Amino acid sequence: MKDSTQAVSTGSVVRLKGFRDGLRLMVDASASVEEIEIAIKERMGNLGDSLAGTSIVIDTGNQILSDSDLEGLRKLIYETYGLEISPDPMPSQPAPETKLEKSSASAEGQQDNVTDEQKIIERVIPAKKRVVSNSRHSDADVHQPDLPNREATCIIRHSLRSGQIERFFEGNIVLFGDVNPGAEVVAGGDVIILGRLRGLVHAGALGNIDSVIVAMNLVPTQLRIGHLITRPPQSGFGNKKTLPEIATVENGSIVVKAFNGF
Amino acid sequence: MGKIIVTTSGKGGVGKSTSVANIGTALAMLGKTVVVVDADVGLRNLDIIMGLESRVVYTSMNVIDGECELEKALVTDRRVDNLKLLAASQRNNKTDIQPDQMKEICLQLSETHDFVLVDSPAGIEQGFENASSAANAALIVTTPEVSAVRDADRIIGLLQAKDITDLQLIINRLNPELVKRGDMLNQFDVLDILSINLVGIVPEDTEIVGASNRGLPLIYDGTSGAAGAYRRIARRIDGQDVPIPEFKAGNWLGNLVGKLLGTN
Repeated sequence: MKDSTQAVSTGSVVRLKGFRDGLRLMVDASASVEEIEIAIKERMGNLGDSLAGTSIVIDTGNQILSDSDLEGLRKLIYETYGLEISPDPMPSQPAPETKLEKSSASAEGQQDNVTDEQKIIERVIPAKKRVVSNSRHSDADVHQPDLPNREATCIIRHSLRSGQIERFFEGNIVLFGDVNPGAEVVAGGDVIILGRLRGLVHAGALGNIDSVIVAMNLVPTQLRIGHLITRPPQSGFGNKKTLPEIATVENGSIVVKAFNGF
Repeated sequence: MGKIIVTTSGKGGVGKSTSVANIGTALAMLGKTVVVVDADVGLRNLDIIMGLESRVVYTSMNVIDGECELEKALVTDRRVDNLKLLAASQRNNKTDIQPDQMKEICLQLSETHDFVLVDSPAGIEQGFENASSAANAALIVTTPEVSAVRDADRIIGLLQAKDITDLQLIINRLNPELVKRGDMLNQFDVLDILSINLVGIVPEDTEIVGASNRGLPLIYDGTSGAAGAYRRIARRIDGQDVPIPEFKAGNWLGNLVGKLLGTN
């Protein structure tokens, strides 16, 4: 996947991380704009439209991109992927690599510019709806920050009706209830539905095909894991399945089996 | 303070206006003071179904523009005088009225009537927002079809997000013959997805079309299956405990007997 003629590997120019129900694009601003754009296209190319409408924050750490460069990126991301750029709610969170490279003096000077430019918005997640447990970052996360944090799980304690969408790119989702047809659940990690899955679920939404989907009654309109999509076999309305099932990726395609425990 | 109930569905053509006309009339016949409000600005039907089209002088638009008092815009029903209609303008469209304005009208009406029934247009946009702005309860109408149920589920989600928790479902146009053949969902399939309280089932009734065209709500026809259902629904809305009968397929003798005896 790495092009050996490129001066900088795309893996370190751009990193895509889930952050609650939105995305953070960590950009190495020392790369050229062309390199950044190529890296963005490679990273986000096949993520499909589960991301449409999601808010994304461009994080350049302690570096700054020029206004025109930033505007160019915003335009590219909005027009190509339908993602809206949001102001950064946590402006002083540099990508692990850039933190090591910058000296403290220059970091301070640039820090002021960064906070001047960006408005700080407090993001409030309704407490009654979600519990985020165990957000310790594992070692794997530091070295490969693109993977969802497998220990971060969002628990949703109600059913979803048609038209409702729940997203948690940071990690897994556990839902106590049903997912009705027309509803969507999108997670960076696994999705466990303790009820009837009749809508659409996308697990591993940032590209992880080792994510799983489990439901007490798996009768979805569509299943997606990573960049793979599958639909159930044609059967009329009124599905009478009653066994729990698990969907995983085997040999490049999604397979569904009876679920008897992990 | 009267109850403000919005009748909505998401999907078009499932029987919202018909339900409002018949249930409104039935409630009035039980002695309640009722005003039905047509919130479908630009595509109004409620006045036609109730046979009051020729009597409409002022609409809710005139009231909002300050051209007349609310009282003056209310049209009294031809047959039951504790039933009134506030018609919608046919010239304007839904963006000409704001939710706050509708809310004020409905609240004012609820001060002098036991029931304010708001007939919502189809859709989830401004028409729906206007219609539900003052509601403290909702009647959701669906037919036993996959697309109608999908839309009803969406609208229920939107109503719950507005903290309207008094939600009642009407399953309209149930055809026991088609259910028996497996071509139509039965009430349990519908409730399985929608998971709200069922206030009544209205069977498919060929008399509805004629009644609508003549401007004579079916509720006045003692023998019609749908009329009986609407009468029972009105009683349940009024708080009475009325069991929902089982609708069985193709027993023509039973149906005929029921029709003659008026027990349908």
